[in-house]
This record gives sequence, structure tokens and C-alpha cells, in this order.
Amino acid sequence: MFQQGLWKQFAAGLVVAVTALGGGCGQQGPYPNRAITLICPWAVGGGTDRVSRFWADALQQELGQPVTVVNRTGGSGAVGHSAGAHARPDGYTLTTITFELCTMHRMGIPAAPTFDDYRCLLQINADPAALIVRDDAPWKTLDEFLAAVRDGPTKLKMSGTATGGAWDLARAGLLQAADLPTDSVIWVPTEGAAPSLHELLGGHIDVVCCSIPEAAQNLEGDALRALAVMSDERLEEFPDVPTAREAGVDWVAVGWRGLAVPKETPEEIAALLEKTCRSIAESDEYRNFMRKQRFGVKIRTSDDFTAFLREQDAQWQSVVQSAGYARE
Amino acid sequence: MENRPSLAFAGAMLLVAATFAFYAREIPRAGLAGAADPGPRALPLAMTAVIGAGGLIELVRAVVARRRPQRGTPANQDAGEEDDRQATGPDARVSYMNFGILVAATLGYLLALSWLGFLLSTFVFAAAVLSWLGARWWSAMLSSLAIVMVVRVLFGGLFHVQLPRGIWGLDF
Amino acid sequence: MPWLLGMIFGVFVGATPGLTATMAVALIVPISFYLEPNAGLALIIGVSFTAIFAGDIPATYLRIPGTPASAAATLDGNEMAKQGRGGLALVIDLICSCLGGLIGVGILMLIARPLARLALHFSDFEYFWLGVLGLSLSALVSRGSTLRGLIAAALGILISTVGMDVVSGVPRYTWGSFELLEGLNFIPVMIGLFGFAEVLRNVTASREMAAPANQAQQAGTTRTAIRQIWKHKWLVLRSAVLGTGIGALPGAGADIAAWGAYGLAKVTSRAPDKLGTGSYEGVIAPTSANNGAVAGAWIPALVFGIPGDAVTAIVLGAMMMYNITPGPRLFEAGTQVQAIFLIALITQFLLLPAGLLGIRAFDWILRLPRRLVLTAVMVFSVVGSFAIRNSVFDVYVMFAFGLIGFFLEAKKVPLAPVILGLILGDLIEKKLRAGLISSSGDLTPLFTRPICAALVGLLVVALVIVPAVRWLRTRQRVATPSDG
Repeated sequence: MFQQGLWKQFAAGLVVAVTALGGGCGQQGPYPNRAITLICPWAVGGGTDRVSRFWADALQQELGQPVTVVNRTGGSGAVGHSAGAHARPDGYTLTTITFELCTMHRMGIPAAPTFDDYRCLLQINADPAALIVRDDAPWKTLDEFLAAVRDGPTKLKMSGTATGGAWDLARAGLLQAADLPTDSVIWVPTEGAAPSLHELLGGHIDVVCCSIPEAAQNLEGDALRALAVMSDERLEEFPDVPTAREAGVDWVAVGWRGLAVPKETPEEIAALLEKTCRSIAESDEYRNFMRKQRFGVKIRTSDDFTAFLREQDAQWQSVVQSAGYARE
Repeated sequence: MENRPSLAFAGAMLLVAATFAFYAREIPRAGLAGAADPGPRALPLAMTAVIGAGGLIELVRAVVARRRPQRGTPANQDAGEEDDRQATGPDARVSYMNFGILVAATLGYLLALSWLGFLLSTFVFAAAVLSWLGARWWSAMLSSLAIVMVVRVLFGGLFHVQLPRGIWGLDF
Repeated sequence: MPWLLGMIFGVFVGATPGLTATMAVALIVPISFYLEPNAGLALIIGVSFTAIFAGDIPATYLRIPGTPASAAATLDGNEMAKQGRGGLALVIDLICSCLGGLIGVGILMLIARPLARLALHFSDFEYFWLGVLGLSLSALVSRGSTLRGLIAAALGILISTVGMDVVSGVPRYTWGSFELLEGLNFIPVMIGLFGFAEVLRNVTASREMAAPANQAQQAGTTRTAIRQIWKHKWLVLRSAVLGTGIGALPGAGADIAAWGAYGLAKVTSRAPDKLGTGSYEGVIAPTSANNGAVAGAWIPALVFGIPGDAVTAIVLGAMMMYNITPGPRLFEAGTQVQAIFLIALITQFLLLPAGLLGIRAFDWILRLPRRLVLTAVMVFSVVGSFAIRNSVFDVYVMFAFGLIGFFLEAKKVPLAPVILGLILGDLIEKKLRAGLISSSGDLTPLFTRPICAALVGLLVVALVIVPAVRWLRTRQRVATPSDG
């Protein structure tokens, strides 16, 4: 069965392949001169994926080179964030970085990257966490809810994501800011906001903690309402929902997304990308897209973004520790 | 015939059970979720127990079957294996040589994938396998080229998948 | 027109291993924004239904499931192909996909809201029992030794525990590799166990390599197909209804629906031993159910605005771009919902030509010499495993499971329970533990909640009563002739 001329064929194959198909390797010219990858650390169909796909489209139009979204999922975002941080720093690999970049390296994920491994380009979005209850729930305000947590006969059940996920940490921080132990409610792990809201509607849990856009469609209906939102100020779209601060709990929890390239990317390339991203972020198309998808727009330029991430890293470190989630 | 106990299978299952039970020690007993949770270690341990017990039963049955050979079955060491081989396909002969060659070639291909890039390594692999399976060299080359092109067009063009480029950064 | 083109695109994506229906929809959504809302929605809905069917084509012909929902087609569909009846199997498959979709959409139109209310009663413990029920069906699904079926299921569950444990947030069996943190991806495992293992088997069996890959497939006469489907019309209905119901649960999707229907067919079949050997029932049940489930996933999306799976999540996003807000308001407003229903119905009919085209194309491929098909399968196994997460690691996973699949099949260990264990192990563990956390460790609700009790009852019927009755019957049958 084994043919004798095999090695000859191998050699011939190499020659053919290199000459016929390898023409693409010698391209030269100013950046960008070939396809660009945008790494999305989360799965197809989620919020980060939808935002990433918008940006890939917009960058493609601005830069004149194909930009493809590559979903590198796994390990609560660790796989994608790490792949993005350790990609070749040539400006051809961008990453949509998310909230988890500031928390996962404290939670026992081996070799998880931090914001320090990235050259941040632009923050593109921020969505505060909110407490959402059924319309017939007995609590009308955050105060009443916290009182129920403190003095209620049974522990309340909350959900919104997996144990140790973004919204679990947000509610842990809220309880902590209100001087309550983090285990004074039961956190029921689920796979995300959608199944949690379903459980909430079914009456199996009492409160969902998730971001506003994830629940927007239900808040616009009359089955659910938001008790409080964990942002600096009230949201334009939901002016009736008070902030946690207004209720006397000094706590802000914001899920954010941004664009970044590996740390060692040449400065002129990074600067070009930053300028391009900023002009996209200022465009009407972007505002329109985000408004329709109910995502909040929050733009921070490179330096502000990096400073913000440093601050976030510190803020969440204490929450992760006091909730007992910290691991070496 | 169909349910003939196999020593190899029993051994493999016992090995799997032992390995996973051993490494289950590295899983913390309790997770972040508190006392009501049976813990992350419970299910893996239960499953290793099932696999281990199943392997043991299989082992006992295999040994018993070997002690009491059925009529017409040779009672030598390879009894179980022989039957398996015969049952594998309509053609009685099974070439473990071919198996070894293909596995080695595939492994080489996978190793080359991240080094040479998808384009080149696939071309070489496909051409090599085709000619090994009896194609003439020119037809192997052409078919291999066709396969590479189809994959390139489908995945690269239509589905926007970026296949490994390799160290030379060839167009994927 | 873009509708039909979109569906042909769906056939391509669905039939390509490693590219799921979710991927197909994600790729098509940006294009749909350039169209009018209804045309865009038609495109997206068309792609999602077609991709689920198209996954059955390579599963039947090559034993590589194109999408997770098609794993069940590697059983009877593939057996039929080996007997030279693959074309017929796929025509039946296609028609049943349409019927399943029609029934699913019908249910969606008529009783979406009551069904959505019912689905709300499902919490962790209910999902747990649903998973156990599905898994115990694997004992029935598997042919051959029960012991090995059990071991295979346990192996599948054990594999499902690899990775980050969502309930407690600790890594298990990752050995420091963060590629393993997400766990072993289902698609590479499946491609390896079925596709690569099949290539290995072919090569080791020293088959004639220049001959066409599959013996001439008997022309899939539509009349035979329709006659068989008519004969099993109740099975189609049962499976589609079951599939739609499972699809309406946010925690379960088309893959679980397909296996559930397969198990149900096995329990209710008059000739249960034939399932798995290339029986019509084994082809009809899963494919009716998985297209029903695609329709079912729309139920929570339209009624509550909560996506039932990743596909509907993308579609909800697309709807918002068209200024359509899904949820209760949409349902009450009427016209838009009716347009969606109409689109979904017409899609089922368009599925026929698009699907036939896909079947023809594959038929043509299989006329090529065996060695060429085998080589192409190898390359597609590698690329498909890579494409699902863009990870070379997954290709090695595929390779390893190819060897495991080869070994297990050589030892006559059924593979279906491994896959079921892998799909359901995760669900069972997560839901049981989440339920226990929710009930503070109390086990009583596990049995006393009404739906739980009903599911436990079903479990008893499926595992104890049906086999017992069957056993009694065969004993009678054996006893009668020996008397005479």
C-alpha cells in the first residue's frame, strides 16, 4: 500500500504549495496591510459578542482591511483575555476586554492576565448592575430590601450568574457596603441573566442582580421592576430607578467593555488604532446601535481607561477577598 | 459474541477510575457556595466509583470466561482480542500497521499545524495520506490541492474562521 | 430570494462539522441589517431551521454530526447509510424536519402563552429529573451489554466534570491548563468519537480504497419516505411536541430534545430492539424533535423577552435593531408577531428544496473514491474542531477522542451513552447542586414538588414498568410455542 515515491511527493508538494498559495506572505506597506482579528472572550450571541461584531464591522470600514471576530471562550473569559494579551504585538490582534479582567486573576484562575498586560485603547461601554424583583415583591425600595435581608425570617434567594461571576460580586459588594455579611442571602448559581430572569418570573428566586440591558425588555413590560441601580447617577433610559447611593449605600458596580492591544504594540500603531476607535465611538451609528441594543455608552480614552482599570482592580480585590472567593 | 468480556477494556476502565480518583484529591472538598452544596468533588468521585466497579465486574467476567472456554473458542491468551478483531469489519483482516501509520501521520500533521500553518501542513498531509492509500502522485496532489482550496474558501471566505497561519504568516 | 439563499447558506454551515446553527445565525445577522425587517428576520429564521436539519446530512452519511443536535442521527441514520439506504434516510429526515418545524410553529402560534407559563414552573430540581430521565433513557438507547452502557454513561459524565465548576468556581481536572477551564468542548469530542474513529476503522479494515466511499445509495424515493412517515405519524407528532416542550425550557435545547425523542421512541416502540440498527423510527424521532425545539426556543423569547438559547439571543438582538421589542408587548401588539409566524411557517416549506440540494451535494461527494472521502473527512475533522473555538487545543482533543472512540467501539462499548453523559452530566450536576443551595440542603422538594413527582413517576414507568410488561409479554410468547 505504501508507495515508494512518497518523499519525492512531499518535496514536490512543498514547492507547489509555497509557490502557488504562499503569495500572501510577502505583502508590504503601511499598517494595516492585512486582515485584523478582534478577539471576543465570550460566546457567540452574548452582549460582548454583539458589541464586538459591531466594532469589527466599523473598524473594517475605517481601516480598509477585513476585521473578523474570533470567539475565544472558556475559563470565565480567561482564555480569550490571555490569548489577546499574548498575541503578537503588531496591531493585527485586538481584544474586547471586559469586567472580568479585573477580578479573575484573584480567583484561582491559573496564569490569568491583568489590565497591565494590555495597552488599552478605549472604553466603549458601561452598564451598571441593578437589583430586579417581580412587580408583586413586597419591597419598594432598596432600604426595604436590605431590611428584609437583615431581619427577614428566611434568607432571600438571589441569582444572575455563576458563583463568583460579575453580578455575584456586585451584590456581595452592595451587601458589604450596607454592613451586611455577604452570606446573608443565598446566591443560586445560574448560567446567566436570561435563565435567572426566568427563575425570577417563575417565583423560584427573589431578586436578580444583573446589568440593565440584560433585563431591559422585561423592565419595559410590567412583570418586573428595578429596585436600584448601582451607578453614579440615574440612567437616562430608566429615570425612575434610584441609584444605590441615593438610598444611602455608597456602592457602584459597573460592568464595562473596552478595546485593547497587547502591551508591546508599537506606539504609532496603537495611536492610529486609538484615533480610529475614538472616531467610531463618536459616530451616530455607534450611538444608535448601542441605544437600540439598550447598552450604555461610556467612552474613556486610553489614559483615563487605564486609570479606571487600576481603580477597579483595587475595588474588586477587597470584594473578592471579603466574599471568600480569593485564591492563590 | 456481542458481550464477550474484555480484559483490555476492564483494565482500561480500572486505570481511568484510579487516575481520576487520584486526581480528585486536588479538587477542593467544598467550593465557594457554602455548606448546602455537595461540593465539586462529589460527582467525579461517584463516577470513578461507578467506572471502577464496572471495570471490576468486567474483569471478573473476563477471567471467568477465560477459565471456562466456550466450545469452539481457543482458550489461549488472546481469545478475547481475536474475536474483537474479527468483529471489527466485514473484511476479517485488521491492519494495526495501518492504524499506527495513520495515527502517527495525524499527530505529525497536528504538530505541524501551528508551525507550518494550516495551508501548507494540510496540503502535505492530505497528499501524503492520499498517495499512501494508493492514489497516483499527480492525482494525490490535485485532490489535496482541491481539499485545501475548498476548506480555504468555505472557512476563510464564507464562515470567517481564521485558521492557523504558522510561523511564516502564510494567508492562514 | 435572499431567504432561499440564506437557507442554502444554512445548509452549508449546518453540514460543516464544527460550525453550529448559532454560528450560522451570528454570521448572517450583520447581512440581515441591510434588508427590511421582515426580509432580515426571514433570513435569520431560515438559517436557524436549515442549519439544524443540515447537521443530519454528514451525521447520516459520514457519521460526523454537523451540529450537536444531530448526534442522534449518527445512530439509525448512519446505519441506514451503511445499508445503502442513506438517501432514503435523509429524505425522511428532511420531511420530518419540516413536519417537526410545522408542529413546533403551530404550537408556538396556538398555545405559546400557556406553555410559557408551564415552563416557568421548571426550576433546578425539575431540570435535574429531566436530565436523569434523559440519562436513564441511555440505558435503553444503548445496544448490547447494559454494564458497558452504564460504564459509558459514567465516562461521559466524568468527562463533563472537566473544567471550571460553575457552581463553586473551582477548576477540576484541568492540570493547570486553562484551555481545559471551559471543559472539553462537546463538538471536538463528538467529531473525534464518531468521525475520526470511523476513519481509523476504515483504514485498519483494509478496505478497497479506490472504490466509491459508500455503496450506491438507493435512490431516496419520496414515495417510500412518505409511506414510512405516514406509518409513524404519531411518532412524528409525539416527538415534535416533546421537542417543542423541551425547547421552551431555557435550560434545555435541540440536542437534549433529539435524544429525549429518541429515548421516547425506544420506550414506546413495538420493536425496540430494532432502534439503533437502522430503523425508520430512529431516524424520524430525533429529527422531528430538534426542529420542534428550534420553534420551542421562541416561546420564552416572544412571551417574556427571555432568549431560550443562543440562537434566539442573537435574534432578539437583531429584532431590537429593527426597533421591535420582544416580550409581552410584542405578543399583544399582534401584527409583527403574525409576520414572524408566517415567516417561520413558509420557512418549513422552503426547507424542502434547500435540504434536497444539500442531500444531492453530499450524495455526489460520496461517489468519489473512498480514499479521497476519508482524507477529506480527516481534514474537515481537524478544521471543524479548530473552528468551534479557534483553538488548536481542541484539535488535539478531537484526536484523543478519536483513539478513545476507536478503542471503545472495538470493545463493543456503545458510544451514545458517552455523548448523553457528556451533554446531560453537566445539567444534572449543576441543577442538583443549585437546587440544594437554593433549598439550603433540604432534599424533600426533590420529590414533593408537583412536576418533580410527575417526572419521577415517568422515570419509574420508563425504567420499571415498561421493561416489566415487555418481559412478561416475551415470556408468554416463548411459553406458548413450547406448550404446543
